Amino acid sequence: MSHPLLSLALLSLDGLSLNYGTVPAVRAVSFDLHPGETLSVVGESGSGKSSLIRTALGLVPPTAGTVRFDGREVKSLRGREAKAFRRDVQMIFQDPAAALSPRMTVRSLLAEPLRIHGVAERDTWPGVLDLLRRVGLPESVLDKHPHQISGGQARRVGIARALVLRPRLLVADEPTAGLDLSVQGDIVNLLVGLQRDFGLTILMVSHNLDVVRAMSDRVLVLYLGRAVEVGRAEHVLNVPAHPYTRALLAAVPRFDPGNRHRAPPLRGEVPSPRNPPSGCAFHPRCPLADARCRAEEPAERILTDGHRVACHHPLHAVPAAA
Amino acid sequence: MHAVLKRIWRDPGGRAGLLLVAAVLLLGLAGPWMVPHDPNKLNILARFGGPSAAHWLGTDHLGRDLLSRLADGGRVALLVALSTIAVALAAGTLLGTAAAYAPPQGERSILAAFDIISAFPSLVFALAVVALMGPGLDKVILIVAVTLVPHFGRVARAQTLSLRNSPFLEAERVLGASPLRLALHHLVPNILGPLVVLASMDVPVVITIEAGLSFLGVGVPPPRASWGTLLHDGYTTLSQSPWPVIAAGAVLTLATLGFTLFGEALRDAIDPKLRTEP
Repeated sequence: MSHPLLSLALLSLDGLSLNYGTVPAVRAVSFDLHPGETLSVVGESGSGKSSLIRTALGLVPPTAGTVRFDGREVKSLRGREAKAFRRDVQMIFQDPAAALSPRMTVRSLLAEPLRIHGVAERDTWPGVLDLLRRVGLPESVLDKHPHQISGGQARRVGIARALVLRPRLLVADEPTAGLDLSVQGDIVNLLVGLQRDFGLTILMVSHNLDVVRAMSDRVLVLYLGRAVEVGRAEHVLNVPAHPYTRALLAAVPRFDPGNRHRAPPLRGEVPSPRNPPSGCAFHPRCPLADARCRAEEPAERILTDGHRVACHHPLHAVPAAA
Repeated sequence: MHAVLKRIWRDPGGRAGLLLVAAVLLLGLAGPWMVPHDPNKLNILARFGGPSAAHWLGTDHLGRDLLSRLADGGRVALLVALSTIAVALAAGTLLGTAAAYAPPQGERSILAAFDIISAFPSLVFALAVVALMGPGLDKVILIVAVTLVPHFGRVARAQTLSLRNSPFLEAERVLGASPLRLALHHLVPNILGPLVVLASMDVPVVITIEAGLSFLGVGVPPPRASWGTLLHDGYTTLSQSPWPVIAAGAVLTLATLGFTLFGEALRDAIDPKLRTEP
């Protein structure tokens, strides 16, 4: 949406690393997220996606590197500033039903953000009801408990709940996971509409590449905690520079009888971060791997237009026009 | 609440338990106003009387009305049961959740305290407390409450551990909920079910402990009636009249049976795995 160079970053990660004990989950990830933009983090299970967003949200302190929101380092926020950060940054959870406190009604779940932040309920409740209609829920769900509504409804409650406080940044963790295909489409359309209407900035994690394609301005590909490719969505998804990105895209089943340029799908599992491979972490699964890949970890190289890739043998040096 | 009572009523054991519990509550709470005699009024001439129109269950070795004394003893039993369980539930929940969130060292010391209390024979503990502080209703409550804390503490800790990393608690943190709000609004309501079941199952246990301590003379001091002292007095004068032992024994048995059945039915009724609400 807005051009990266023309605006200050809303969320900025710089060399962010997170270790669980001695096991690295996120390794030196950097990116800027600009107002109004949607950035998607993609990767297999175990690539560190959830660790990355939990650190970005300040739920876990980073082992190294910084997270800045609106120019301020999240780790150092205290008191009123910390509260304002919690108000400005909201999240949609992967398992929507499990993220709703089980003994509360939908009504109190929606009112709770207001109570936590001391917003007068009387003035804002009509807005909450508008939001409820906006996400496509009838008022009859208000008196139900989380176990009495469907997965799709719980997802919508989660979205409404995340927007009650009118946040600036919305973090969406697998927003379409576990939903029927038609409902997935509804949720994507809803999020795109809400982003436009509320001026949201979205950080999304997903391994549904169709959803990523439909929603993202930029895409970050994570492999074993490392950002192996970052760039504009049309570049990364259409003309990937990293063999791993190409393999991920090839793994999406598609009705395409003339798929001549199809890369072979990925074999094997993501290696254990406990014992990462030498050199480039992707080399055991990479069709292009050579001695250099086994020995030396590739530095990030910049292609054009903010397209970055960490690979010794990028598929191309300059992104072709989309 | 209504649905839970309904489910208990549908279960035959639960129904029997509910009726017995209601009878004990009636005897203990309303009894002292309904019975015709002062439970502590002596009438030596009428001692060891069998059941009669004036004294439905007869009189004891000092000629006191047995029914009145049973009602008074019931009051004591309920008072001890409810207050000890309330204290133990509160302290156990606090310590148990604290243990679950505490750093390893804190957790270990809380668990060690639980183990020490559980391993220490409660009767020896009771004798020590009474020897140091003298007998009294408040001491009985203190003794029993302390011995029950590990019960509730361990369950509270296990429940908290199972919920500590659940997404809904993380969701509340993302919203900016304070730790106090997290604990009171989200954690405690979700660990309370098993604790309430445990509390109801502990009522008969506490009633028997209180009766046992009173039977041994380290419980409720005379002349205040307790089912334990009634049994003890009846036992020492068994050759003169069987009625005090029969009456007190029957009430004690029925009360513990009733609370046990009720507790089991309550457990079945609020076990979330069996819940089939729409």
